Amino acid sequence: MDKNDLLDKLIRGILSEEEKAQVEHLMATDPEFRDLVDFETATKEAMQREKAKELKAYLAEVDLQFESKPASRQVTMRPNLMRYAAIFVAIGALTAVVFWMLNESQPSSSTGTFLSYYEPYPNVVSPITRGEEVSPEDIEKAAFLAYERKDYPLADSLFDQIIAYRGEYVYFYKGIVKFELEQYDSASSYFDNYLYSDGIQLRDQAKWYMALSHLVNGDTVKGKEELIRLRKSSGYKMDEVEQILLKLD
Amino acid sequence: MSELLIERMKIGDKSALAEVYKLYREPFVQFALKYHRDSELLYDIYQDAAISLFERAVQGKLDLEKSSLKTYLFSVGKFMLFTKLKKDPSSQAIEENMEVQLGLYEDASIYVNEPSQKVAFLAKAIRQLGEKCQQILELYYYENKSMKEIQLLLDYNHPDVVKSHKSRCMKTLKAQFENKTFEN
Repeated sequence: MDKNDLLDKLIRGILSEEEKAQVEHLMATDPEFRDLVDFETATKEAMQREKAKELKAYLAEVDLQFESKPASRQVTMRPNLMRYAAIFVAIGALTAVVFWMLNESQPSSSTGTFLSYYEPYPNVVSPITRGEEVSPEDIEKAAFLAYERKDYPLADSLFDQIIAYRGEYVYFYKGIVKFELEQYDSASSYFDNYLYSDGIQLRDQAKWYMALSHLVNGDTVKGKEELIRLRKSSGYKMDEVEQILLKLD
Repeated sequence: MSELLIERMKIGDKSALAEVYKLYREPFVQFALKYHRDSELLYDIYQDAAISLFERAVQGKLDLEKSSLKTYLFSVGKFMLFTKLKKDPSSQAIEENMEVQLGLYEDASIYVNEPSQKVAFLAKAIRQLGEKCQQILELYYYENKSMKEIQLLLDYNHPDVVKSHKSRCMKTLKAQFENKTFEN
């Protein structure tokens, strides 16, 4: 059998016993084949890890939605979820205050309502373990550390230092930082930059946050357009999208 | 109900993963608390076990004739937990005779081991590829699809066109490795 066919079957885990023996022989005698196998298996693992990271972020969101709904049974909260929940409650309380204040001055404003759908997106790019020391050279880690600690002004300036040569995801997180700093126009343009880049992992999320940036900024037309686009392309935040669209109609 | 959930996961339906995940999350943690008291770690491991289940389903490797979704999740989760605890010297002693079935656990290792430098670099390099390349590599390396299947899914004229597109993507990836050395 052709070496490429053997390699294909090896990667997809469908080698017969006879083919396994052929692969073992080639691995022992053909350094070029061995290098190829090494590169292909490493690529497969890298892809698995990337997907696992993406799914982990998705399940973290499922956790948040799960915990924030009134439970009919006793649920033990995870310590990190409690942290998120506390942030959630704090944002909720803040939103209520903002909403009340806006209602006092501008009865027609619905900014606060839209803000209540917002929560910062978790760091799924540069995981930071507890107690980890960050070297001064590793600006990306430092930026995400500041992001996780909610030091948004610091995260903003650190992301600026790496945006030119790091992955597209920096645009996305820069957008969240700008949202937190209440610079909604700037937030929209960063989400837009992400959507025009080659990044694929956070596309639905970028559309969602871009819609919220427009809505909180008072541009309901653009906000609605983005939500309709998101609804067409995926089921991300489906319930929330429907709720907001209903409110906008 | 499980059959339907498995079928939905096989076609990559993430909401099916979320349903399965929510269904057994608390029972798993209650079960695993007898082995380890850090519930944060247990929730984290349960997420990995659910992701590994989803991966096997997407790849068409989920064979649950002799067990159920719950048994699979509990057994992979337990395997991941024991492997992690073994690495941590401060953790309590654990039993040596684990029911390790190689076929079932082969993919679980990436969740308990750190990536090599080479794999970490590759993951970054993949993120920098164009959207089409990422799509082809995901279908081939993650979903285990054949060239023919990818051709049909992405509406190419012939499997060979997919093959040559994939080769170009791999060439771009390899180019980033020039003059780089990695520790094993």
